[in-house]
Amino acid sequence: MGLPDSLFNMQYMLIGEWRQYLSDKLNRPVEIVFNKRFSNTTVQLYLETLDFAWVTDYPDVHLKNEVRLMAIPLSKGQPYFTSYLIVPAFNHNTASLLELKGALFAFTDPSQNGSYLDVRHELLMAGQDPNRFFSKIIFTGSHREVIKAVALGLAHAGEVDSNVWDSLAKSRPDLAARTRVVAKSLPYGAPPVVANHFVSKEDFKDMQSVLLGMAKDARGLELLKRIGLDGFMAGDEKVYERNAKMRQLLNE
Amino acid sequence: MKRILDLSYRTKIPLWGSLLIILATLVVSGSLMFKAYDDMREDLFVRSSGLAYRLAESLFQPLMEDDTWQAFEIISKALDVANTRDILQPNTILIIDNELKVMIATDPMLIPRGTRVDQLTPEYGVLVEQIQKLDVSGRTTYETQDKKNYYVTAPVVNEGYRLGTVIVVNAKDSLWPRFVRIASHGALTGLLVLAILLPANWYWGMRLSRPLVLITERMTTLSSATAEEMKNVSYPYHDEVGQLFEAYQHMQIEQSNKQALEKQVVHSERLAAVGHLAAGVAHEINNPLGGMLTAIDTLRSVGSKNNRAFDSQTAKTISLIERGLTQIKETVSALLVEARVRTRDLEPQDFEDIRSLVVPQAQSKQLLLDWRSSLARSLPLQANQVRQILINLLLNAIHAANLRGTVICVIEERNQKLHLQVENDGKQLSSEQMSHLFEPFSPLSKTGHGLGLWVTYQIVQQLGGDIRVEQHNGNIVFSVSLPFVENTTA
Repeated sequence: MGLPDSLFNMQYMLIGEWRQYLSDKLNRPVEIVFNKRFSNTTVQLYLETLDFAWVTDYPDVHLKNEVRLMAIPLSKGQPYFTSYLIVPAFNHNTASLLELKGALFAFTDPSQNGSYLDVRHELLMAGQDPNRFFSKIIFTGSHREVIKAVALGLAHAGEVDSNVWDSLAKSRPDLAARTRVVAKSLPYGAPPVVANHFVSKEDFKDMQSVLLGMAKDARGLELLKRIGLDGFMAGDEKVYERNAKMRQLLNE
Repeated sequence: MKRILDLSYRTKIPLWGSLLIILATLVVSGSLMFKAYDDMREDLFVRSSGLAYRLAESLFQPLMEDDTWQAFEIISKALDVANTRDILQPNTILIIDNELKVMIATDPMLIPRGTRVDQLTPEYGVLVEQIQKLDVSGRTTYETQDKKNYYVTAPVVNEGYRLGTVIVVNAKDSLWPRFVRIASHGALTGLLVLAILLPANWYWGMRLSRPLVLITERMTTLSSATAEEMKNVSYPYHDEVGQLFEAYQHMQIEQSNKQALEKQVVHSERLAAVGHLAAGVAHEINNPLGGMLTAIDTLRSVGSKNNRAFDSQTAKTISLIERGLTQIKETVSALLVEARVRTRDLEPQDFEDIRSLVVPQAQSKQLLLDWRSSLARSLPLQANQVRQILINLLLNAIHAANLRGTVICVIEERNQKLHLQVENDGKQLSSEQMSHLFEPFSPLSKTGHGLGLWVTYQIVQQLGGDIRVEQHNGNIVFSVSLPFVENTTA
C-alpha cells in the first residue's frame, strides 16, 4: 500500500500502528510504502508494485484508467477537504489571493489534488496566468512545512490543508500563530484510497470493508482521530466532479 | 620615585619581588588569553570553512533541481546542529547565485530573496570581489571579517559547474562567552598563583633583608655598640652576609681596641706631662727648701751655741716656720719619685714582710685577705720599689674595700715579668673617675694627700712596667706587670 507523506505529517509511529491495524483486520501482512515525493506513489502504482495507494492527485487522467476508486476519507462528515491561504503573521494587509502577484508562494506538492489545483483554478478564473502569477513557487513536500516556510518568512504566502493547520494550531500554537489565515478555499474531493487494476475483487472488498469499518470499532476510531479523519466512505466519482472540472480548465 | 627607592630593603625587596611576580603573571596569562582567543578564532574559521564546504556539497543537488525548500532545510539544520552541540554557532548562512543575488538565507525576513549581496553591508561588497575571484574548480575559501562578523564562503560547484556560493556568517560575539569562560578560568588560576607566590615572596624578602637591616642598625649605632653586643647578634650561616658580619665584627673589635689604645696613650701622655711638671716644680721648690731648712737649723744651733735663747715668741715662730717647711718638704719629696740606686734583688721574703705589715690593717676592717703568691725565687727587680708599689696598692685596696669584704692579692712570675694583681670589692667607680685615678691629688683620697696611686704609677713607669685598672665582676682590679731588669750591677 502506498501512502503520501503529506497526510500523516511524518507521524511514523501512527503509520506503524495503522499498518498493524490493517494487518490484524485483513489477517495478512501489509506493507506500507511511503515517499515524500508523492508522484512516486503514482509511478509505483503504474509499475504495478503496489496493490493499493492513498493518492492525492485523483482523478489524474492517466491514473484514472489504471485504478479503481475504493474509499474516500471523511472530514467533518464530508468527503471534501478545504485549504487555507496563509501569510506570515506580520503581514496584516493581504486580504485575497489576487493581491499576491509576484510573491514567493509555497505549496505542498505539484501533484496535489487539492490546494495546488484550487489556487491555480482560482487564478485562472480571475483571468490570471497561473504559471506566471507568482514570482517563484516552492514545494515543501508536506503541509506542515508549508506553514513553517510561511512562518519563517521564506515564502510570502502558502496554501495549506485546513485540517493540518487546525491540528497544528492545537499542537504547536507558537508556529501556527506566526501565520495568518487569509482565505479558505472551496471544498474539493479528499484524496482517496485506490486499488490497482489487477487487485482481485475479493481483496478489493476486504480492504474496502476494513477501511469503512474503521469508524465502527474503538481502535480504528482512535487511529482515525489521530489522523484527523472521521472515517471512510465508499468511493464515489461524484465527489471529484469539481476536481475534474478544474483539471480540465487548466488543461491537465 | 626617589621616595620609593629610599625605602628600607625590608620593604623594597618584597615590593620589587611582588611587582615582578605580578608582571610575570600578567604577561603570561595575558599572552595565554591572547593565544586562546586567537585559537578560538582560528577554530571558528576552520569549523566554518568545513561547514561551508559540507553545505556547498549538499546544496548542489537541491539547487540544481531548484528545490528551494530542501536547500533552506539544509542550511537551517546547519544552524540547529551547531546550536545543539554548543559549539560556535553561525549567525546566518546565505546562498547566493552567480549574479550575487540572495537565493536563500536562514533568516529570510532579514535578508529577503533577490537582494544583491553587496547591498547588505560594505563588508559583503569586499566579499563579493573575492567570491568572483574564487577558483571554481578548487576548494578555496575566502575569509574576511568586519567589526561584528566573520565571513567564510565556499562555492556550490560540481565538476567546474558553479551554481552559487555559500556564505557562513559568524558573529564575533559568539566567541565572547567562550573567551570569557577561558579568561575567567585563567584569571582565577593567576590569582591562585599570586595568592601562593606573594606571601612566599614577602617572607623570602623579609628573610633576605633581615641581616642587612641588622647590620645597618649596628652601623648606625657604631659608636655606642661594643664588640660584645655585636657578638650577640647571631647569624648562623657562613654566606656573604655571615662573612660581612664577621668582617664587621672584626672591624669593630679593632676599632674599639684602637680607641682604647688611643685613650691610653693620651692618658699616659697626660700623666707623663703632669709628672714632668710636678717633678720640675718639686725640684725648683726642693732646692731653696733645703736651704731654708738648713738656715733654720743653723739659726737654732747658733742660738744655742751662744747660749742665747730666743725669746719665746721668736722660738715659736721659728718652730712654726720649720714645721711648715717640713710639711712642704714631705709633699714635695712625695712628688719627687726617683729611681733610686738599686739596692738588692726582690726576695719572696719581701712579700711575706708586706703581708705581715698589712694584715693588722685588714683585720681592723674584718676583711678576708686572699693571698696567692707563687713566687719561689729571688727576682731581678728593685726590692724597695716593688715593696712600695705593693704596699700602696694593698693599703688602697684595704681602704676601699667594704667592711667584712675581700681583698685578693695575686703575685706570680710569667714571661720574664712579675705580675701583681690586687683586687677589692669596694664601691664601683665611674669611667670618669677611672680615667683620673692615677693623677696627683686624687679627689678620691679622703685621708691622705691623694698622691699614693700617682706615686705608684710613677714608680711603675720608671721601672718600665705597666699598670692598669679594671672593674671586673664587681671588683676593682689593679694589675701591674714589671719586666725584669738586666743584672748590670752584679
